[in-house]
Amino acid sequence: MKETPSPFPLPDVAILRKALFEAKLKKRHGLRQASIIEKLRVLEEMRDFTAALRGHREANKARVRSAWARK
Amino acid sequence: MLATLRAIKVINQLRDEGIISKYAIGGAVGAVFYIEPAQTQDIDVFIHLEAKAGSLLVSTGPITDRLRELGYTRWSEDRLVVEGWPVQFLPAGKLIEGEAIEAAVEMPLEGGVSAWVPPAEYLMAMAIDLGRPKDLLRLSQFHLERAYDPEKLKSLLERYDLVPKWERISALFESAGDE
Repeated sequence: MKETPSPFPLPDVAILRKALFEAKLKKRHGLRQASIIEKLRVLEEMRDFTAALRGHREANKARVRSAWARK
Repeated sequence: MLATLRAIKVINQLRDEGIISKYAIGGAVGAVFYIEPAQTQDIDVFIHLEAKAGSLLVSTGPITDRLRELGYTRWSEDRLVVEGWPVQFLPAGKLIEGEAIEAAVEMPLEGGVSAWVPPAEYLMAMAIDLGRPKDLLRLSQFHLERAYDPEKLKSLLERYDLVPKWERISALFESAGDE
């Protein structure tokens, strides 16, 4: 069976961790005083980040399923 | 212009065209106007929706039809995606939701775009009423950031018989300790 190609490029785990850390840092130290526009921008970043993670997880699941099917 | 502003602009267009009447943005996007941003995947828009004469069911058909005409044809589960945001139109089924729409205030943003958002106390009361884990998280943020008027919240909760529920929830925050 052919491997299902992922619709999302697989992000490097270190990059994801860094982004998550930065988001947490930003959240903790900067956003209480941020403007609404800045907060909406962060909201969009968080949404896209979660979507990428979800895509990454789904792609992994598909790969595992496909590997099992080949056995 | 930010995608969220473009999405709000489309919602305002629906209102200006009479497809919907006054609306109120709730959920995490509404809460951003008062507290720090929290993870969300959609924009919740509370609207008044009346059933057609002779029908017991309300329909969001006219909204989705108009959005399709405007070129928004992609769905994310049961929500049409508008400018990158799945938008959920929620007919106000509870009295407090209807009142939140009426109490919504205009929040000017950028480029002449404004959003209509309920006062913080209404967002909190609706979260207390629902009481899901994500609502408790949002309530804890309102509590930690002191982003509401306790007197206004109290009078709202008394009217909707939500005081005992809020006392249980706020006791959790107290026992967990503030920042």
